[in-house]
Amino acid sequence: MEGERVRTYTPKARRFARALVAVGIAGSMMLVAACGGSSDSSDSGAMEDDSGAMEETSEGGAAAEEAPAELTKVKYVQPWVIQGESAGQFAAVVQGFFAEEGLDVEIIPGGPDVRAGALLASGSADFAVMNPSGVFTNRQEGIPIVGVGGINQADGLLIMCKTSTGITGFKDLAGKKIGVWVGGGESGIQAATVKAGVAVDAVEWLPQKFSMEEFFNDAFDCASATEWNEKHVVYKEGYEAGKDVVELRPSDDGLFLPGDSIVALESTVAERPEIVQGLVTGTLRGWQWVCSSEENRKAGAQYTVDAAPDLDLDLQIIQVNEMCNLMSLGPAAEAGQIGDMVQSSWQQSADATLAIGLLEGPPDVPAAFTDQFVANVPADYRKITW
Amino acid sequence: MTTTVVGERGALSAKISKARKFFHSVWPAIIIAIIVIALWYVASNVWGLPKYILPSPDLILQEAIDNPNSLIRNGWVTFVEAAAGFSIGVVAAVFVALVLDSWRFLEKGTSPYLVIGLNIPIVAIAPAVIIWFGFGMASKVVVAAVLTFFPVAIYTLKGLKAADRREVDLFRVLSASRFQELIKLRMPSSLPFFFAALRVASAASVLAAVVAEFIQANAGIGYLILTAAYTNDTPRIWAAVAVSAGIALVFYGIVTLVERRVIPWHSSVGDR
Repeated sequence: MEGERVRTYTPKARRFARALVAVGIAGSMMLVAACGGSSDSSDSGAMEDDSGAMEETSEGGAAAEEAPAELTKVKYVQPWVIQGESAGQFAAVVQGFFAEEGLDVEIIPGGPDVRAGALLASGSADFAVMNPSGVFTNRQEGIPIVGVGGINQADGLLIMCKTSTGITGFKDLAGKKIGVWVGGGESGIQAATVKAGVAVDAVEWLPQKFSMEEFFNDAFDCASATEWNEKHVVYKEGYEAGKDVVELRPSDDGLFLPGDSIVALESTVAERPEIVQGLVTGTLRGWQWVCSSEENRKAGAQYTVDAAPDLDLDLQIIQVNEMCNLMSLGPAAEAGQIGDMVQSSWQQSADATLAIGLLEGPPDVPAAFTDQFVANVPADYRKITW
Repeated sequence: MTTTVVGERGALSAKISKARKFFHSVWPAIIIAIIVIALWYVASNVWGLPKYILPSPDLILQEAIDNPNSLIRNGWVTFVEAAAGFSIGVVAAVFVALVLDSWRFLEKGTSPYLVIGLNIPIVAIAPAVIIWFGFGMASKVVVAAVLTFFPVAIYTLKGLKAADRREVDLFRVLSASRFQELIKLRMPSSLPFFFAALRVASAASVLAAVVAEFIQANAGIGYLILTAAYTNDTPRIWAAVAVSAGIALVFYGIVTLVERRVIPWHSSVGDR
């Protein structure tokens, strides 16, 4: 023993150890209580804890009007973090369009890895906004969601190439490095490439981050961009359209792959058609209201900034303008109204999704959407006046 | 009288030596920070490193000065999520470690899974946790708690077994009860392990909250980084990174302070 350090535990250490035991016991009680509590509320009340937290979101959007008791609460998942892309939905909340339909809508922001299909299937949310390709892949995975309303007639995805690459059209993409958002974002671009006579395998498709970094540092010959965001990020950096950058769009070649569409579970459509109707009517009315005047577009953008104060208002106004354009393109322009889900467009989307290998076989396109709700929306709420 | 003066002087010199000690322990870090920032500044402004790769430190500072509210508001959200997750994770880990320590079968049965748990990639569990616990703060707190739980549980359990064999024998010879042995010997001797785990977990909990926010959120440092990347606002990304590092440092500092007070006898404490 001699020469060895003898450890003497100070009273403080002992006291701390005792406190730890107490904490452990208290913790165990808390855990037991929490487990007991959550099993009680696992069905209906599981989300109750956070509904308070998220109420801030909708309240931030100035949706703080006291909801009468008879309003049905629904959760509505957005395609991305809150931004101008969701301005119509926010307008419907703030302007009371959803409330008029008997709904108390809570807007849930999306994100890069939010799986809206799983959220609907698990009952964590009631409605979502996603592209038809997402509807097809979810259905393949056994999540029975259907499109119940169209927002954008084109998905708003384009590729931007520096003019120095010599690319002038999809026909020039052979052997080039093209950045795409893997998992659906590539479908329209690749379909357009095939349409231009270039085999998919002839192009080097590379996964792109959710930014334009690879475009700026020339890692890619062309990078994917959305009409409402990345495109404007590039021009903000001083690039000039036409002079420094070429924009290639599937819709320029007559390919209209629908973009943002309202989706719900088949069971919701079958069992609660009235809330589906309310949500579709409210959403289209929200967008019709937003797009109908310059002032309203600004207001719509402002609602998103109220909900997410870190956003840049000017960029949101740009986004709203692009959204209004995308929802009134092609088939919508012909019909003079927004909201239609066009069979041929959904078919093009199915073909494109199949072509990029996200589907094992051709999907049942007519089963993937229903236009019964859009058809019941009053014409005034769908009229393109811009 | 003399004794008072000596006492006061003693107190003063003790204070001075304490301050000196503190200075000696932090100045290497300060010097390194100054060198790194200087090199960084040169790289950005002299060698022309593009802004979208690494913006100059003055641009980041400018961003922090221009938008302090955004950084504070989002930093606070992350701080609260990480602190709550850390606390819950530590409480659960201590409880589980105590249970496993007293139940051999359970310990043998679960320890491989604890190690697997230690290697959970956050990006894999965060989307599922969001489905289970909803869209608010709760899901981020849970992710932070999970990442705190595993290291703390594993190291605390290891610590509980680390008591000196001879001391254990002595307790047994003296007919100490198992509870006495736990409280008076094994728990105190596990504390160095416990604190080492806390230090690791304190940083991990902040990282976990940020990553969870990155996946789905409406506020927080992760959300701020995501939206800033989306609009190519690199100075804002780096300002947010600085805030998140600051939060992790605060957590680490608190753990270290508590450790110094609780186990000043341990060799790992004296070194720092």
